[in-house]
Amino acid sequence: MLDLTDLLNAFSLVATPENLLLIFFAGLIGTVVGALPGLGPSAGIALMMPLTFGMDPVAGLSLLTGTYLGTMYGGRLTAILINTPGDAPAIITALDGYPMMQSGRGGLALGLSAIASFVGGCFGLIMLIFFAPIIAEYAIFLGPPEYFLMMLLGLSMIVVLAGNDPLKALIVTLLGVLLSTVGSDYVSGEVRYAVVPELIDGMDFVAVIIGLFGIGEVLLNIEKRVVLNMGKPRFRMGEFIPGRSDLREACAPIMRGSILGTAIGVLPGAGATIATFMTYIAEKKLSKKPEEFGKGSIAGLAAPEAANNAAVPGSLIPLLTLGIPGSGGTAIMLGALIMFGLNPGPLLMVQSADIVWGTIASLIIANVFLLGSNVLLIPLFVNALRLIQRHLTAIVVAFCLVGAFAINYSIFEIWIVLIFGVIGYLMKKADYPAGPFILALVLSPLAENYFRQSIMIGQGSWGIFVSKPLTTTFTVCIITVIILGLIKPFLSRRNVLKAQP
Amino acid sequence: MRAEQILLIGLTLLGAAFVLGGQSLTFRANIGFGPGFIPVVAGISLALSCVFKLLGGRRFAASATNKEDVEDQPPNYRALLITLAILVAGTAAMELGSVLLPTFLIIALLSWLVAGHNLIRTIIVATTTITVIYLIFSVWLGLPVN
Repeated sequence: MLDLTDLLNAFSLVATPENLLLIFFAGLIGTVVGALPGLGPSAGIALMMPLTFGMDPVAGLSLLTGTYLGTMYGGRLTAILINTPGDAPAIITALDGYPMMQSGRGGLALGLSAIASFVGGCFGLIMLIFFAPIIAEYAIFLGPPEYFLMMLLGLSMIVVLAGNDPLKALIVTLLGVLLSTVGSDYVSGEVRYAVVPELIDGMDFVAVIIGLFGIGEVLLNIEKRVVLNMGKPRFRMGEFIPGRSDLREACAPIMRGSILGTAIGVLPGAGATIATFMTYIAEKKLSKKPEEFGKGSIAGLAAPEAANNAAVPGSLIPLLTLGIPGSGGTAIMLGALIMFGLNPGPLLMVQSADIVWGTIASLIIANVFLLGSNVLLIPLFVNALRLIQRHLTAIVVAFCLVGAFAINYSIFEIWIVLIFGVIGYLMKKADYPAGPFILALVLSPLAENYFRQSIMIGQGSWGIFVSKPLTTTFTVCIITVIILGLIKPFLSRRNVLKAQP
Repeated sequence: MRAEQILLIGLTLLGAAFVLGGQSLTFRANIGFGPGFIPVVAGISLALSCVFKLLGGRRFAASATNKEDVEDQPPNYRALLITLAILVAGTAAMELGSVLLPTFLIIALLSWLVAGHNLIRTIIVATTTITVIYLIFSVWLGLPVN
């Protein structure tokens, strides 16, 4: 049972002027790093690691978790302003955030996403505080078949729900699956399709998203002669603060996104990216105006943004209670825990309760700081964009190229960016959705592992996927989604024919 | 040739290449699947899906609208090709050792030849951008971006 005195004690431990300043700057640095294409949460935490040497564990972990949360706030900035997500979870933010920006509601999109991020973060933290032991205990019972089926369900849903043409979504999903197989096979260790040594570790996901979204968008804009016209720089705070009607519209999606984000974030291997994708799909399904999704829908922006930040505390639940990282960022955090001489696992909350609760307290403080700093920084970011709008093409290209180089300090990643820039351009031009491709690229390595492990556990039998009530439920859901996907085009065709005079 | 056809032909070839390349990988191993299972199955599925789409088989979408059909301005392919040439040449130049210098040239050329800015403005934009990039990546983050 939770004893809140632990948390209160932790606040008294963390709330020193030095620690507060540290958390504030960690959040700011995280925001800027998260906004830079190519540098996501993993890069942000990794870059901050050297600064924690010599710090006490609470201060060091405060710095790292503050940066982690900050990158989640930052990723949305470039996604909304220039359609170049700073990190993978911000891909979904760009889907509706950028159209809002194009239609002159960029300030509103930034304001709304900051509030959604804050609420999502708060919700995730409450769950972390109250339900960490319970959820983690349940998650430990999920095995490879459950994880594989859950991922397959996510992929099936996105194929069926992305765009009007499921075949296009299927093609890009298969492309994502195929490219994810490049590099070392996790199960056998065999190297697959590594035609150059740089591909032995696989294709860098960040380089792929920079190319697909950054360069792809630039090329399309050049071909279509698109020039931003946001007017002259001005400072009107009202432009960035959502009105009552906007908040009312966003309220329910934010709450749903927060719940889903925390629930998905807690599952090891899932993380914020899947949380945002799943939330977007669910929100589109629930919406009374699904046709507005992808064109600047408030619900389509707010719900994934809340899920994105809710997934951060969610992913910390298995890390702090079981020692299992839920994402790339938490994997680096695991290294930090070991570096501080801690023993990640079920005993961490017993043996080092003060440090764990101190980290949670610093996350709560960081979330509050980040809301304030992000709302205040919005006019700065938007006006900076207004100043450079005529030169955006060249500037975006420069940041994409240098960001790609910063991944591994290698020119090879820049070539990957250029190749996927051209693919992204062709996909946009031919109206192929990028979302299923990205999700498949992220999920497939994990899903393949879980699939092959499941078959081995089942002694070569596929019956493993219907051997337990939970796996049977997932299998039934997948079959239902596939059937819906197959009949959806025929239903749409019939509706169109009916509508014609 | 339309963008979609180029994309689909490229993806068909890619799928076929993965299937051929996967012949040297283990497909089935004892009670489980080998490393060749997923790429071969995905490669065949991708190639078949693309061929199906290319041949104009039954359209899955009833109301799908191709963006190419609704363009209101003539496409600027000249600028697109110039941009691609600048990017490829600039990246190739990076192989010589410096990242910042070719990036400076890429910004300048894009600003001058593609965006159509005058030379003074081009130089100001390129210098400012590269300085900001240097300050963020090299000075602040301490990354070896030279």
